[in-house]
Amino acid sequence: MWWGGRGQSFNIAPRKEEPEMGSVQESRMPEPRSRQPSSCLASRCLPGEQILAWAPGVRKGLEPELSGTLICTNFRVTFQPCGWQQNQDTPLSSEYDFALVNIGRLEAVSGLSRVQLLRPGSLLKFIPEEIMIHGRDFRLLRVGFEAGGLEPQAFQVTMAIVQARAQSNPAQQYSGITLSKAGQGSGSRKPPVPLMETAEDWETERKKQAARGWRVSTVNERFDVATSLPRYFWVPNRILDSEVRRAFDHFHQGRGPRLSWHHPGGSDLLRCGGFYTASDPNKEDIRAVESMLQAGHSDVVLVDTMDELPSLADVQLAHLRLRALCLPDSSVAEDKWLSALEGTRWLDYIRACLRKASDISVLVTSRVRSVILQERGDRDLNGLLSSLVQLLSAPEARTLFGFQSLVQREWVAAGHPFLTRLGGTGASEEAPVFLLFLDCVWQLLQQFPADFEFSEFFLLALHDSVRVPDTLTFLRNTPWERGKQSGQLNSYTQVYTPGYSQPPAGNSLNLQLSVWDWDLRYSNAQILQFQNPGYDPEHCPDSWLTRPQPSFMIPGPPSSVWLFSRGALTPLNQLCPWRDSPSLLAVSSRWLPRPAISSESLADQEWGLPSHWGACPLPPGLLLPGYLGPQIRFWRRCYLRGRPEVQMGLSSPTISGLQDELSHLQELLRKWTPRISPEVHSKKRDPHTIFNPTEIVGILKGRAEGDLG
Amino acid sequence: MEHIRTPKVENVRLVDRVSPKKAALGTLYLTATHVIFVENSPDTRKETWILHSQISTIEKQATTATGCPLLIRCKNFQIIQLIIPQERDCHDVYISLIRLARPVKYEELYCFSFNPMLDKEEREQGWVLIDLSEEYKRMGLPNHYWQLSDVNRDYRVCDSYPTELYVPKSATAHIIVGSSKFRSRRRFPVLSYYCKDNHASICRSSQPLSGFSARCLEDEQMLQAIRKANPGSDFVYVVDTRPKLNAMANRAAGKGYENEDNYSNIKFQFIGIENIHVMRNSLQKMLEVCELKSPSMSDFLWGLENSGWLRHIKAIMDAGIFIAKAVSEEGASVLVHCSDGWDRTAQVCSVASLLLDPHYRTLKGFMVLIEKDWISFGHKFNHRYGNLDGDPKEISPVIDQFIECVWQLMEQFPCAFEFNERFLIHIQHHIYSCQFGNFLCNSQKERRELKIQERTYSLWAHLWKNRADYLNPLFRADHSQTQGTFHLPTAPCNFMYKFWSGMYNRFEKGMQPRQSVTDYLMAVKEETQQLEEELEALEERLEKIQKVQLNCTKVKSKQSEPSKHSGFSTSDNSIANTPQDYSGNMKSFPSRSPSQGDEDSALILTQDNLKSSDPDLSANSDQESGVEDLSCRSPSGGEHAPSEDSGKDRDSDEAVFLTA
Repeated sequence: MWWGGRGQSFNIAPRKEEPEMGSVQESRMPEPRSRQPSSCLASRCLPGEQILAWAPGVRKGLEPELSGTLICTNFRVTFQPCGWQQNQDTPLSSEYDFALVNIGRLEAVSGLSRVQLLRPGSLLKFIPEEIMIHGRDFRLLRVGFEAGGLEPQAFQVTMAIVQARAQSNPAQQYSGITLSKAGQGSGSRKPPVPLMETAEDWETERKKQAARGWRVSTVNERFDVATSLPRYFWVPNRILDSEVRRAFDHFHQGRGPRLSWHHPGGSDLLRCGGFYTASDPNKEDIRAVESMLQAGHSDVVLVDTMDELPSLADVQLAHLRLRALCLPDSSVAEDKWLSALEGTRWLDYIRACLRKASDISVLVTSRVRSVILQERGDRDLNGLLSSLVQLLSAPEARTLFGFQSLVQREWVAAGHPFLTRLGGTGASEEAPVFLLFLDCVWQLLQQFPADFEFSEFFLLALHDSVRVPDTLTFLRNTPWERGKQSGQLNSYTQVYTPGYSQPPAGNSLNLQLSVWDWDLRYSNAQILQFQNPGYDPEHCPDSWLTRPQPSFMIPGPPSSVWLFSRGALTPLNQLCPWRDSPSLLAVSSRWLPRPAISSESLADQEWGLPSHWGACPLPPGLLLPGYLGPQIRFWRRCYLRGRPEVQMGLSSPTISGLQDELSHLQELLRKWTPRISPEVHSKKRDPHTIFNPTEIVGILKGRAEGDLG
Repeated sequence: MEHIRTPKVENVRLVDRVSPKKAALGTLYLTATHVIFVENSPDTRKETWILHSQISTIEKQATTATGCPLLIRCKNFQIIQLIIPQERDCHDVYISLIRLARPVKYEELYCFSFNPMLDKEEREQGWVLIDLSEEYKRMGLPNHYWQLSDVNRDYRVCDSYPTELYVPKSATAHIIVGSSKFRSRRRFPVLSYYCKDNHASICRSSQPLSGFSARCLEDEQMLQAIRKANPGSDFVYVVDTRPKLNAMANRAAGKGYENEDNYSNIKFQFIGIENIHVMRNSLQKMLEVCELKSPSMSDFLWGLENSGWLRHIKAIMDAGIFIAKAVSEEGASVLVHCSDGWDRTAQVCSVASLLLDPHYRTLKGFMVLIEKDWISFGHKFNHRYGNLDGDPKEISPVIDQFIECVWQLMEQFPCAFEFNERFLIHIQHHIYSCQFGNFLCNSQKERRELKIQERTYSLWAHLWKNRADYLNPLFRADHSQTQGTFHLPTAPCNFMYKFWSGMYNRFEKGMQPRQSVTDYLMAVKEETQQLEEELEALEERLEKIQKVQLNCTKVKSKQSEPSKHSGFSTSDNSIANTPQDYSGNMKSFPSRSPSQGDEDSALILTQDNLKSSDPDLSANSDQESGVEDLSCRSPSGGEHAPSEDSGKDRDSDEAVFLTA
C-alpha cells in the first residue's frame, strides 16, 4: 500500500472544504435514526453522501446468511454485515455496494408469489419481506427483512431506493475522493499507475517505449485543441505545434493523429478521428496531416476500425440481451440456451474484436510501417483495438502495472466517454464498449494463462468498478471534465519546458484517488488475488526492448498507402480524402499482397503459419488469439454471478489450487529463511511475485557448501 | 497381412485441415496394426500413427489434378485427409483399410499382438489390480441384509451378468430365478451400489416382461426383498430411464415397465434418456460442427444446440442426480432399468455412484467403477464401439457420454477428482484402441471363454503405472467438495454443461488454449514434492555437518578432514536429484505446455509411449511386426525419452555437485 498503513494514516476527506482536517471521526456517517443499530452501521461516507434510509436485514441466497444493515444513500445502496467495521481493512466495501446507477432491476418480494418490479417512481404496494437488487454488472443482492416491528423500516428503505434511483444523477454528485496529504508518504513501495495527466508521465512513457522519433506535444495544454483529448500527447518530432494545431482542425472533433504505441521493431501504431470532410484544407495543411499520418514511414496502413466491428448501438443491444439472458428468471427454455446466447450477438462481437486486433498486430509486427487506427469519434473502438493490439504485442502491457497504465492511457486519458457509455447520462449513446474490451481481455487470459500477470479476479474487480461512486476515473467523459474536478486546471499558466521535470502532482494539496487505488475497497487478501499465479515471467524477459529485432521485419514497399478492410489490404491512391490531396503513385504489382484464401488469416499470409501453432515460431512476444466459434468462451464467473446455482459455489476457482501450491512453497521459504544468510535473503523479491523455488535450494546448498569449508 | 494390398505409398500429402495448401509431403505405410504417415521433411520426420481399430470411416473423394483424396475419420475424433498421387494406390489403400478397420475375429485385434514386455507374473498382477470383491467389501458387503449369491455360477441364469452378484438375503434362489424369467434377457435385479451409512442401495435390472397385464410373483417378491434390505425406508424407487413413450411402445412387444398397482410400496419414475440410435445421430451432428473449417459463433452455437448433445448429457446427469438424491437425502433404495439394462442403466448407475461416493472420484475408484458398472455387468463393448465388424446400428457412444458426464462434473467441482482430463481422454482412447483386453467382448462370459486375462494386458495396470500423468493437481482430499455427496441443483441450469473441446477438438491444435493451467500446476506440484525431498536431504546433511563441526572443535582439524569427506560421500546418493536437474525441468516446461500435441501423438504412438518409459523396449521388434522398414530410424518419441534425459542430467549434476 503506497499510502502507508491502513487505519490511522488513511482518511477520506471532502476535498476542498477541509483538506487537512477530514478525520475518520468527521466523515463518520451521521446517525440516521434514533434507533441506531450502532456497530452495524457504516462508519464512512463519501463526500456529499447522505443516508436516506436504512433497515436491518439478512443477506440471502448464499451460505451462510449474514445479518446486517441495508442502507440507502443518495449515491448507493449498500449492505453492511454486522461487525463489518472490525473485520474490514478497507475503507469501503466492494462486495455489497451498488451504486444507484448500477441497479439494473429492483424487485420487492412478499411471500412466495408476490413480486413487484420497482421502477424509478413506482409505488410499493406491500411491505416487502425481501428485496432483490440486480446489478447492471450482473451481481445480485438479496436482502431479507426481519419481521417483528421493523416492517416500516423495510418499507421505507425500499421506497428510498426507488426514489433515490429516480433522482440520481451521478455526473453532478460524485466529486470523487481525495487523499489528504497526511495520508500519503511513508513507504510507497509500488509505483503508482501514471495518470497521464502530466507531461512528465508522457515523457517517461515515451522513453520507456523508446519512441525516438516522437515528442510530447503541449499544444492541448489548455484543452483548446480538443476537450476530449488529453493535455499532452505524442506527435512526430519534426512536426511543430503550430502544424499540429492546423492539422488537427481537419479531423472530427479535433482528434488528429497521435502515437498510441511504438513497436520496438520500428512500427508505429497511431490513432485518430475521422477526416473532417467538410473542411477545405490548404496544401500546407494537407502536407502536415500527411506527414503526421506517415510518421516518417514509407509504408502506411489506414485501418477503418468501424469496419466489421459492431456499432455502438449493436454493443448496447447485445449487452442488454446478455443481461436479460443471465437474469435468474430468464425465460429461455432449457434446450435453447445456446441459441439464445448466440442471439445476444455478444460473443460474436468479441470474436470480431479479437480477429481485428489479431490482424492489426500482424500488420504492426510484420513490417516497419505506420498503422493508423481511424474511427470517426476516435473514442471507442480505437481505444479497444489499440489496447488489444498492445496486449497481444507487448509483454509489458500484460503485467498488472502495464495493463493499468494501458487502460489509463488508451481509455481514460484518451477520452473514452465512460460516463455516457456506461449509462450515467441517460439511455442515449449508452454502449459498454469498455466491458466488451474487458471480456476480450478475459478471452486472452483463457487462451494464454501464463502470459498475463493479472488474474480473472482483477478483471472482475475492474468490471465492477466502472460505476462505483468513489473515484472519478470512470465517472467523467473527458480528461478536461476530470481535471476540472480535481482542480488541476489551476496550473493553466504553467508552461512546460522540455527536459525540465515538473513537480509531481502529489505535491499539490490533495491527491485525487483513482480506480487504481485498489485498497480503497479491496482488502489485501483480495488484492493478492489480482496476481495470476500461473504467470510465467519468463514469457516477458526484462530485456525485451533492447533485444535485437528479429528478421521477420521486412521494410515495406517505397511509399505505399494501404487501406486495411475486410481482412485484406487494398492500395489507396490518396491518403486524405480532400480535393487537393496529392494522389500517390500506383503501387507496383510486386508489392501487392496476394489475394487471401477465405479461411486464411493475415498471419497465415505473412508468415505462412500452419494451423497447428508452434511449427513456425511466432515473432517473440506476439500472441495470436484464436477466434473460431468454439474458441470464444462465455465468461461465467462474471455474467452468471447472479444465478443462484452458480452462487452456490459450483464453479469454484480453478486457479486457487495454484495459489495453494504457491503459498505452500512460500511457507517452506519462510520456514527456511532464518537459516539463510542475510545478504542472500535481502535479494529476495517482493513476496507478491512468484519466487523461483529453485532459489531456495540453491541458497541452502550454498550454505551447506559454505559450512563444508 | 494378407489384407494389405500395398504396404507403402510415396509422395502422399497429409492435408492440414485449416490451411489446405499447407500439406506435408511424406510416405504412407500400412502395417498389420497401424497406418503410419512419415513426413519427408528431414528436420522433423514427423510421424502420424493411427491404429486400425480407431478408424471409424474411410471416404474416397473425387480425384483432382493433385491426386486422389482419402478422408479417414477416427473414433477418437481425429480426422486425417491424405492425397495419394495415383488413383490405383489410393484404391489399394482404401480397400486394405476397409478390411483392416473391420476385423472379423477377436484374434485380429491389436491387444493379441501388443506386448509391453511384462512377464507373466506382472501381467497377472495387472489383472488383479482392480478387484471387484474388494470393492464390495469396501461397501460393507456381505452384511446382515445382502449376500453374495452363487445362483449365476457358470452363467446359468443370465449369460450377460457376472458370476459374483449381490442380492438381498431374503431373496431365495427360487425368487431370483423366477424374477429372471420375467426380465428381459434374464437380467434380474441385483445390487450395483450400497450406501453403508443408511443402508440404501442402487440396484439394476432390465425391463420387466409385463406387456399390458402380465405379473410375476417372484419379481414382486424380489422388489419386496430389496425394500426390506433397507430398513430405513418403506418404499423403493423404480426408475425407468427411458422416455415414457418408448417404454409404452415396449409393452406391445410383451415388455414394458412395472405397474405400481402390482408391486407394493414402489414409487415409479420415468427419466427420459433417449435410445442409442438418437445418441448416435446426435454425436454425428455435433461432430459435423467440429469438422467445420472456420466455424463462426452462430455456426458453432446453433450447431451444438441442434445436435442436442448437451441436452442428452443433461438428461443422463439429471437421472444420476435424481438417484443420488433419493439415496442420500431420502435414504430410499432405487431400482434402475432401461430396456436391457446395459446402456442407460450403466450410465445412470455409475453417475449416481460418482455423485454419492468420493471413492469413485479417485484414480483407482474410477477404474473400479468402470469395471463394476460397465465391464462386469455386460455392457456390450464390442457392439457399441464396433471393435469387430458388426451391425452399424448397434454402435453408439454410450460410455463416451458417461465419460463426458464425469468431465462436466470435474468442471463444476475442480477439487473433487483425483484424476484429470487426460485420464478420461486416455480411457476413451483405449476403449476403442483394443490395445488392452479390458474392453473386449460383450460380457464376462465371452471374455473368460477367450481367456483374455491370459492373452492380453490390463489397461488399469498401465494407467496405474503412469498415474503421475493423470493426477489432478487441484485435488484436495480434505476439501469440502471432495467429501460426501455432491449437491447439484436439479433446477434447470441450461448453462451448466459445456462443449468439451478437449475431447472432440483434441486433434485441432489451433483450437486448444496455447497453455494449460493444469500442466503448469502439475509441474509446480511435482516440483514442490521434489524440493521437499531435497530439503529433507539437505536438512539431514546440515545436521551431519554440524555434528562434524562439533567434532572438529574437539579433535584437531586435520583429523577431522577424512570424516568430513566420508560424510559427504554418504549423503551424495540421497541428493542425486538436484536443482540443476530441476531447473532443466523448469525450462522444458513452457515448451511442454503448449504442445499438448505431443501428448496426443503419444496417444497414437502408444508403443512409443511405452518405449520411452522403458528404453529397453526398443530392442524388441515383436510388437512392430510389419513395421520393420521403419525400425532403422529411432522412433519419434525416443528423443524425448524422459528417463534418458533425466539420467543424463543426473550424471552431469553429480559432477557439478562434486566439483562445487
